[in-house]
Amino acid sequence: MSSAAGPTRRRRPPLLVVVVSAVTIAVFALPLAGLLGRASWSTLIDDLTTPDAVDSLRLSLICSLAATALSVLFGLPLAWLLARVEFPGRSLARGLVLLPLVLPPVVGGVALLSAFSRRGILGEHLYDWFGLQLTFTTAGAILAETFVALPFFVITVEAGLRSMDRRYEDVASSLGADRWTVFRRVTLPLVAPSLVAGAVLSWARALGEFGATITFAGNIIGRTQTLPLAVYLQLESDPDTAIALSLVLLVVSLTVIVSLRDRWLGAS
Amino acid sequence: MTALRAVLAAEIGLQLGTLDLDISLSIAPGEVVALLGPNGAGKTTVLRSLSGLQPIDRGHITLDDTALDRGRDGPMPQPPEQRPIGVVFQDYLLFPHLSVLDNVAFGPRSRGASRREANAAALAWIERVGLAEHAAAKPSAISGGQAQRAALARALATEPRLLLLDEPLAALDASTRATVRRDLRRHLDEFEGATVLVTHDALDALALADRVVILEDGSVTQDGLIGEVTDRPRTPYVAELLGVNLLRGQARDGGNGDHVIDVDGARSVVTIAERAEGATLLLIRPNSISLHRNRPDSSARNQWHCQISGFDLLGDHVRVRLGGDIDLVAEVTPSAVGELGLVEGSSVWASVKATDITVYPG
Repeated sequence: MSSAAGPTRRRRPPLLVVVVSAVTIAVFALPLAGLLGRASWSTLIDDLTTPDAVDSLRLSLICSLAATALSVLFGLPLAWLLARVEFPGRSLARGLVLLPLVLPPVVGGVALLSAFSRRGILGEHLYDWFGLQLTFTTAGAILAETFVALPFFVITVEAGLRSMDRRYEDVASSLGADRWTVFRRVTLPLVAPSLVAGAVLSWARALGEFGATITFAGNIIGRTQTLPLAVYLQLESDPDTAIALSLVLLVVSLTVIVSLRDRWLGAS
Repeated sequence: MTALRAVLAAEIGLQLGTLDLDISLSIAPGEVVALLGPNGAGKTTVLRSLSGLQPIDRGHITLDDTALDRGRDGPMPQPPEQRPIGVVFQDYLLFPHLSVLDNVAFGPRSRGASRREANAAALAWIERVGLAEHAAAKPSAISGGQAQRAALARALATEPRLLLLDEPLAALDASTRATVRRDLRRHLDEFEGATVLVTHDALDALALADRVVILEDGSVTQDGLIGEVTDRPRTPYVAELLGVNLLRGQARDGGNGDHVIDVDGARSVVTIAERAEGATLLLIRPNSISLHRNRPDSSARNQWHCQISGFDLLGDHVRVRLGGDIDLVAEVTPSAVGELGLVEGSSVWASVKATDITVYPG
């Protein structure tokens, strides 16, 4: 019994695995360290308060929050439907909604153009009937961000709805609550952690969106030039500002990871 | 059975997976019926169909002359939220995000009361079940017994006509169980509607119910007052719950004025005191069986040669499982086991007086 490694006895991990893991971690850590090292900390505030930087910060905040709101508004009913109702084509519907998770964002942008540009399938009518143009507008930037952010909300909330104990909903019905009351007073509070996580994730995704935005909405300062676009374009003309704005995005990302650590990193 | 008009009258026919449920149930005002049966017999499915969570295929569910469900061919069943039925679920399922007060107020509130009315009604119920100090507590902060009382208050706060209790004491440890059972009995006594209590614990049924309905494999195998069922069990399941021997056999004339029953074809022969006819059930209480090393020289009419197949210790008694001439369980004192030198596999003589055997038609 003592010669065999018991279930409680820990064996040392293989050396090769440790070395490869260390290299992997370094590959991830070095760029972050480089970013911090190249930042010009003394002019950070000035760099972040140039009119263009302020514009892009403000616009990013507006667009990402709007995209998050739209994701919640449209994603919640969809997540409920996918989790609770069996209908033909459910898998197909889920696949379609989740596609932007893996689709290259620039392809998403091209796809959005084909649908919503002034010559797109739907965009043509939107323009003819309502005079509504999405391309090269803030609304277009919001649509592009929603396109990539919504799947994060749907996938998180659907998982939350599936894993909740549905007997609580039975209890609520037995107490006289109609379906809407059950949803509002029981289902929503019980999946609240998933709602928050899904909203935070989709917000972070919307904030960082680049490819679909620049392809579909263009790069117009104050209208569609969000943070990631500003970082990319100012890297040539004003690298200090580009790095300062990158730091903002890094801080936001770290905050998201820390706030969701219980969910994603495991309780440790 | 009772002069009072039934609150609940139900004929439930339902096919669900491997379960083929076909039962009929009628409950008078104030009556508590225990639905007792082994796991998978369909007890919980009966509760789900009564509460409206599971529509029935055939039959009807009628509460106070209102049809709630008339099967697949009838109109849409009434949804759960419109039925005047209170349910205490297994594990109680108090809403974890709401206080005890809000849990109990949930029903009245959902049924249209204002917040103030709902809270007042909830508080009255919370006081009635003795949880006033814990009204503001979250369910995670109260004990299992308190949760049971909160769940009962929540179900009763909607003033239901039918109360459904699903294994109401199963989640409790033995020490709290007795107290909670006694309190539950008191609340059930005060409740004017009909109550269905689902349990697989005979003690809960004995302590809480007026009538027992035995459900086995989707069908009712016995239905009667507590005393009738304990005196005359009809199935091996009930006999085992009660810890008694139940034999099924055919009556015949044994000659010499004897009345005998052939059990298991004619593997075992039991002599009884009075004449019986046809298919017959025999109830032999384990403590009426005597065990002997040698063939007893007693007046007992039944003497069987048996082998011991096992022992179970039950309180201060030992239950001895016997095979051979007849399959029985006898109950002896631990000292008798030593005196008789009983071990597994050893052979003994078992004797029972004919007058100690309860005989009824099978």
